[in-house]
Amino acid sequence: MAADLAAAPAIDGGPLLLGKNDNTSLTKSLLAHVWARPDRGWLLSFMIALSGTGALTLAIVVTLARGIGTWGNNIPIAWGFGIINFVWWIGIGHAGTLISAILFLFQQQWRTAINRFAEAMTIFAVLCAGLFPALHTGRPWFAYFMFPYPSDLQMWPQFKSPLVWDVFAVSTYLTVSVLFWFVGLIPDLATLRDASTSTIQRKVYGLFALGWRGSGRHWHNYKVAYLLLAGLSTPLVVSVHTIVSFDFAVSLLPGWHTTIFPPYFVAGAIFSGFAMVMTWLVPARHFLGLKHVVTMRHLEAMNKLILVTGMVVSYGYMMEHFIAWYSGNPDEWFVFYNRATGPYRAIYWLMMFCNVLTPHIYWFKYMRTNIAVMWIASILVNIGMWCERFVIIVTSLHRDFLPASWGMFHPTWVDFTLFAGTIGFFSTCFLLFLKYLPAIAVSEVKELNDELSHPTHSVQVVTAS
Amino acid sequence: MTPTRFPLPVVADEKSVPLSAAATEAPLDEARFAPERTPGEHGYGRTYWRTLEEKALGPDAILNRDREFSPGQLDVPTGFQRRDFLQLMGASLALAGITACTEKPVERVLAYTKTPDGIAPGNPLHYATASSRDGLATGLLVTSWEGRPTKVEGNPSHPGSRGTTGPAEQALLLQLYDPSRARVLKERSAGRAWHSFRESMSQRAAVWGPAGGAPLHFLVEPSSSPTVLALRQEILTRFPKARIHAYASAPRDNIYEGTRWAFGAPLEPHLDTERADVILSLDSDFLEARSENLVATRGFAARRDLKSAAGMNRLYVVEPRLSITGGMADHRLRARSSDIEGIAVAVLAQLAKTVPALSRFSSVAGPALSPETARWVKAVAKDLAGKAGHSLVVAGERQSPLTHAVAHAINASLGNLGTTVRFTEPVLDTVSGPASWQPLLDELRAGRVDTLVITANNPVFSAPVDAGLGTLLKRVPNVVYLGQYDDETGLLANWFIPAAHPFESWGDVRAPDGTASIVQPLISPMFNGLTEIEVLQAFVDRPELKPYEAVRATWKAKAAADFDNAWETWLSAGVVPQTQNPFAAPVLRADAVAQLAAAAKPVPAGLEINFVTDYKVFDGRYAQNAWLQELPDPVSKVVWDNVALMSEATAARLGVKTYDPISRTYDVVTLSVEGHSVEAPAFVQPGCADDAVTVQLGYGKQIVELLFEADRPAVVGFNAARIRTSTAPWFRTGLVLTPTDKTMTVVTTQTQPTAADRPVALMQTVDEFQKDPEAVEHRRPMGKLKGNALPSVQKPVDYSEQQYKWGMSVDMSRCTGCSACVVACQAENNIPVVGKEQAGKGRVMQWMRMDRYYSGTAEDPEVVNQPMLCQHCEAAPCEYVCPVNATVHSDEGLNDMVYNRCIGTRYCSNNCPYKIRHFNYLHWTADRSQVERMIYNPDVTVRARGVMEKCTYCVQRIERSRIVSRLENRTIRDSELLTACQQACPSEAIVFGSLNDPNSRVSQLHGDQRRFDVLHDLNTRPRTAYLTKIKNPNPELA
Repeated sequence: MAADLAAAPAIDGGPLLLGKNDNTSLTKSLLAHVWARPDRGWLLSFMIALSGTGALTLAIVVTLARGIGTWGNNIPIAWGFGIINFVWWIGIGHAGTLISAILFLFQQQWRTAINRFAEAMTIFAVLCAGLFPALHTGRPWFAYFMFPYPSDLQMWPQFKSPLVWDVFAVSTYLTVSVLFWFVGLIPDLATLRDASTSTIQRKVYGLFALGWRGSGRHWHNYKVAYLLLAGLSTPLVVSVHTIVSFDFAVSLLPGWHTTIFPPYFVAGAIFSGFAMVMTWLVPARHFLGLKHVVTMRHLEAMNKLILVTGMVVSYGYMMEHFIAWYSGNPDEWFVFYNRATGPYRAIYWLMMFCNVLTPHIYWFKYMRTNIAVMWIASILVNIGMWCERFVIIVTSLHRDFLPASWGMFHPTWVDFTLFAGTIGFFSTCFLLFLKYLPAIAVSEVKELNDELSHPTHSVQVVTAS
Repeated sequence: MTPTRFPLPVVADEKSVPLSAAATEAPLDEARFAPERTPGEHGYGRTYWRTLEEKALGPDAILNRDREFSPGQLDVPTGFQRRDFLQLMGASLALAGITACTEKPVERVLAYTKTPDGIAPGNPLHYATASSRDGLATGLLVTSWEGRPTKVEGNPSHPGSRGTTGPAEQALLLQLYDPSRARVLKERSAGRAWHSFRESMSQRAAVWGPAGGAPLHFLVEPSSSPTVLALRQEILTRFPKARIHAYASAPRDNIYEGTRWAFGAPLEPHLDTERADVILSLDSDFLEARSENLVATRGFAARRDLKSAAGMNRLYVVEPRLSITGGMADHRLRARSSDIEGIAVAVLAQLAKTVPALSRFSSVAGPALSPETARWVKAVAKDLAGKAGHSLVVAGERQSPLTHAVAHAINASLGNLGTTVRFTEPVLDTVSGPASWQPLLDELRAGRVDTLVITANNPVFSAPVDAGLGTLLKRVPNVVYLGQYDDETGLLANWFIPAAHPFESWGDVRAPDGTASIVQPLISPMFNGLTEIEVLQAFVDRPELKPYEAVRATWKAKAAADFDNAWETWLSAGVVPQTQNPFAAPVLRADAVAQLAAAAKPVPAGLEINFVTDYKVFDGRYAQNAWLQELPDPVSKVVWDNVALMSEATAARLGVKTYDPISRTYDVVTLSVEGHSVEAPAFVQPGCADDAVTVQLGYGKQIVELLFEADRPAVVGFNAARIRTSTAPWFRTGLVLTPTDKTMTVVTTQTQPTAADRPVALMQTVDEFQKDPEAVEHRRPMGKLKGNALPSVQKPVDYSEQQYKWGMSVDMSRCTGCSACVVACQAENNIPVVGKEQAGKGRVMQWMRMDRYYSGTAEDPEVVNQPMLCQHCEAAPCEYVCPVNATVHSDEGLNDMVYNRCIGTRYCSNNCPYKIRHFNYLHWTADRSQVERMIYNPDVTVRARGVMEKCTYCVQRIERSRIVSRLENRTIRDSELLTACQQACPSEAIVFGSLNDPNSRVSQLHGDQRRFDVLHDLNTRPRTAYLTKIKNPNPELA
C-alpha cells in the first residue's frame, strides 16, 4: 500500500517537489520569507489591506452607533449583505479544513504543500464571517442571549432556532480549526525558534513552540493529536455549512425551504473555498518563492476539485429548479421565475455564468495549467458564489407570499464598506501570516521529501493502528 | 411678575410703537418657545445670550440641561397679568369669607396639584368632546391619563360619529403635541400680550365706528357654533356695516345651491344608506372616512353583508379618478368631471322615458352618449326605478348645482325622500366658496378695508390663485390672523394670534343634523393658544368672557331650569339632547329642474384638471401632521406627497413616462391653467378617466419634518391651489400638461398593484358565491378546514380549556380601505413615524397595513382592500426561528413580542409569510421632546432601536378588560373589548373577541361561509380570519 502511494505521483501527474531538496535546503527556502525584510510589494499590499481594515472599523462604528438602519435592509428584506457575507466567508473557510483533515485522512500527499495556507485562510475567513451574525442583530450588545449562560431570568436560548445551532456550529468550527492549525504549526515554530537571530524572535517563537524538542515521544504525541484533530474536523467540514443552510431550509420561505440545501451548501462552500485558496496561492507561490514546493501538480489537482465541486453545485441548482417546477407549488416556482427574469436577474445570470460555466474550462489541461486562467477563474468563482448567496437571500425575500408586501433591496455605502472591509481585514491577517509564519508546513514537506526519496519507509503514516 | 427663571430682555421692534403701557410688561416668557433653531426669527432681531455656555452651545444647552420643568409648566395662563392678579387676589380676599356658598373658580382647567375625585392614578378617564372641520362636528371621546390626552375615539352617542372616526380625528392628538405650533401672540414680529391686542382693537374701533364698521371685515371658517354665531351677530349689531365672509377651501356650496335649485331653499341632505338598495354616486365620495360620511359608511357597509335582512345593496359610481367609493362600486364608470352633469341628466332623461312618475321631465333630452355609456345609463336607470323608494342618487360636493338638483329630482320623483335621503336646515354658512368671499376681494382691491380678521384656516395658502389674496393682504393696514401655525397667512398678518387646539378650548359645535355638542378642553393651552370666541370678543363692546363663560352663557339662555345639572350631563354625554333640526319636507320644483336640465350643455372635449381634497391632509390643515403624511393614500398608497393622477392612456398620449422602477422616480410635468402653472410628479393611476388629471389639495407647504434626523424644513408635495381658479374651484377643462426633463422620487408603500394571480384577497360575485360557496379553492369553511388539516410538525395546542381564545375577523366586503384603522393603531400603540426617505426604503412601521389589490383591466380595475395585521397564527412561523425566545405564544393564543428579550436577528420577519412584522432599524423615537412624548400611551412600551414589533391584538386593552371583569367577578363580555382598529373602523369590518365563546360575534364570523384564512395552505392556523369580498353586479351590465 505504501508503495502504491509513493508511486502515485508518477501516475497522477507532475512531481510534488521540484529540484533536488534536502532538509536543510527546504528549511532554508521555505522559511526564507520569514527572515527576509519585508519588501515593497508586501508593504504596499499590507497598507492597502490595513486601510481596508480601517474602513471596516469605520463601518462597524457607524453600524453600532446608529443601527442597522444604516444598511439597506428593510421589511421584507430583513437580511441583506450581513448574512450574504456571513455565508460567503464561512463557505470560504471550508477549504482549509477539507484539505487539512479529509485529504489527510485520505492520505493525499499533495495536500502537504498547501494545507497550512488553507488552514490559515479558514481561520481568517471564519473570523470575518463571525463578525456578521453579531453585527447584523439590532442590539449586538445583547447577542450573548444566544448562549446558554446561567441567567437570573432562567432564560435559555430557543433551541429550535437554527440561529442557535449556528452559534454552536461556527464557534466549534473556529475552535477546532485554530487548534488544528496551531498543533500543525508547533514543529515549524520550533524550527523558527532554533533559527532565530534575535532574542525577541526566539522568545516569541519559543513561547508558541511549547517546548518542542523533536524527540520521538514528541513526534508520537504530535502525530496522535494531529490525527485526532483531523478526525474531529472531518465531520465539521460537513456539519458547519449544513447548519448554515438550515438557517434557510428550516424556514418556510419559498426559495429557502428546500431539502437539497445541506449538501448543496457544503459543495458550494468547498467550491468557493478552493477558489479562494487559488486566488491567494497563485500569487503567493510566486512572490514567496515557493514554486518548487507548490508545483503545477498542486494547482492542477486544485483545479480538478473546483471542476468537481462546481458540477455538484450545478447539480444543486438544477435540482432546485426542477423541484420548484415538479412540486407544483406556484409560490416556489415564482421565486425561480423571478430570479431569472425579475429585477435582480443580472445577478442571477452572473451567478450562473461564474458558477456553472466557468468550472467547465477545467476539462482542458491547458486551462488547468495556465496560471493566468486559473487565477481569473478563481476570482470569477468567488464572485459567483457571493452572487449565489445574494440570489438566495435577497431574491427569495423580496417577493414572497403576499404581493402587497413585496419590496426592493438597495444596499448603502455601509453595506459595501463592511464587505470590502472584511476583505481588507482578511488580507491584513493573511499578509501578517505570510510574513511571520511558515506559509508551508515545513516539517511535513521535509517528511514528504523523505518519503519520496525512500518510498518503502513511508509506512509510518497514520494508518498503523 | 413674569415667572421665567431666565428673564429675557424685552426688545421691541423699532418700528412698532407700544400702544399701551401693558404692552411692555407683557409676559414675554413665551419667547422661550420661539423655535430655537432660528434665533432672532421671532422679532428679537438679534440673538441674545446669557452665559458663555449658552453662547457657545445655543439656548438649547440650558433648556436641555434644565428639564426640571417641562415646557408649559412654568407658564401662567395667557392674559394673566399683574392687573388680573390683583383683581383676582382682591376677589379672593373678598370671597374668602363666603366660600361655603360660592361656586368653584371660573376657569375649569385646573392645575393638577390635587387629585380630583374619581381619578385613580394609572386608570385613564374618557371625556366627551367634539372636533369640527369647516364647522361640522364629530363627537369624540378622548382618553386622558391624569390630565394628559393620549387617544381619540368616536362618541357612540354622537350622530356624526356613532363611535367611529376617520383618520383625521385619530391624528388630531399629534397636532396637539406638535412643538411647531405657534406659541407667541405677535404684532408684526414683536411678542405682545393678549391685553395689548384687545386695546389695539378697541382703539381702532374708534376709526370704524363712525363708518358703521364698513372698513371692518372678517374672513371666517364656516361655523355651526351657537356661541360664535351669536358673537358674529353681536359684532354686526355694533358695526352694522361690517362684513363677515365665510371661507372654506373645500366649500359645500354646490350641495346647498343644488337643494336651492331643487327645493327652493338650502338644505342639508342626510343619506340613509342602510335603507338604500341601489345607490348611484355622481362623483360623490360618500365612503371617504370624513366626519360627515361616517354614518353613511356604516349604513352602506351593513348592506354589503349577504346576511343583512334587506339583502345586499348595489353601488354605481361615476367619477373621474378612482376614489374610496369607486373602489367599493359594483359598477364604475370613468368620466371626466365635466361630463358627469351630462350623465346625471341622461339618467334623468332615461327615467323620464320609462317611469311614469318622472314623465314631468320628458322635455329633458340628455346629451349624446357613447354606446357604452348609454348602455350603462340605461341599466342604472332601470335599476333605480326598479327599487323606487329604496334607491338613492347622491352627487358629490365637487359637482355642479345642476347635478345635485337632478339627483334630488330623481330621488324625489322615485319616492326616496324620507327613506334613503332626508333633509334638515343647514347648521352653518351655506355659502363659503368664492361667492362668499368675492365681495371681500372687491373691497380689498378698492382699498376700503382697514381691518381684516381671519379665523379661517390659512386662506393665503389655500385660496385659488386668481384671488391674489397674498398680494391684497399686504395693502390692508390691519390684518388679524388666528392660526395654529405661523403659516403663509400668518406671515402677512400684522397681528398673529396662536390658535388653541380643539382639545385645549371650550366651545360648542353642531353635527350636520343639528345636534349640538359642548367642546370641552382636555388640557390647558400648551402653547398659549386662543380661540375664535376670544378673538371675536375683541370686536364687541363689553367685558370679555372667557370661552368657558361665553359657552355657558349661550347655553344657559337656551336651557330650561336646572342648567347646572343639564350642563354636567351634556358634558359627560358629549351631546346636547333635542338639539337636532327636524326633518324638512321639501317639495321638488320639478319644472325648474326640468328647464335647467334641458338647457344643460355638454362640455367640449379637452384635458381636464380636477382638484380634490386629500384623504390625509384634507386642504392642507393637517399638512403638519406626520401620522397623516405617512398614512399611505387609501388608493394610490403614496406617502408624504401629492401627485398628478392620470390614466395610462392619457399619460401615453401626452408623452409622459410612467414610473421607472430602476431609478424609482416619476416624471415631473408642468400643469398650466390660464397662465398659472405648477410642477407635479405624474402618477399613472388605474381607474382614472381619460383626459382627466386629478391633483390633491393641501400640499406644497413649507413644513417642519418632525422626524428622526430630518429636523429641517421641507416642502412636501406641490400646491395645487396655485392652478386653481375661483371660477372653477373643483374642475375645469383647458389644462395644458407639458412633460419636463425632471424626475422626482415619490414613495408608495405598495409597489405591486395586483395580487399576481394568487388567492390572497378573495372576491366573488353574489351569483358565484350562492351557486357554490366553496368554489374558490382557498376558502374552506371552518369545519372542513379542521377535517382537512395539513400535517404539521408543530403539535396543535388545545385552547378549548382556556377562558378566552382571542381571534379576529375582517370582512373585506365591508372594508372600504379608508385607513382609519391604520392611524388608530398608530395612536394606540405608540408607533413611530419614519419620514419619506425611510418609508422609501421600506421601513414604514405601521402595524396595520392596508393592502390594496387591483383586478381586471388597468382602465377599469376592481379593487379589493385587505387590512393586513399580525394573524396571530396558532402555529406561528416566527416563533420557532427566534433564537432567544423573544416571540412566544400566550395561553390564550396571542403571539406576544418580548421587547426586552429581542436582539433583532429579524429571522422572525423573514419567516413571517404575511410580512407584518416591523423592525426599528433606527432609533425612531430619539430626540423626542418632552412635549412630543406626552402623546405616548403609557400602557404600551415605546420600542427601542433594534427590536422587532408588530400587532399585539391590543393586548393592553385585553388586560384592562380583564382587570375590570375580574373585579366584577365575571368574564369579559363580547364587544366590551374593542381593539383600536376595530373601534375606529367606520364600516365595522373588524370584529374581535373570544373564539371559545360560541355566541361571540367573532365566533359566528369565523363560522361564516365566506370565511377564509390567508395562506391557509401554509398551515399556520391564523387567528385572524377574512371574509370574502362579495360584489353585487347588475347582470345587465355583466
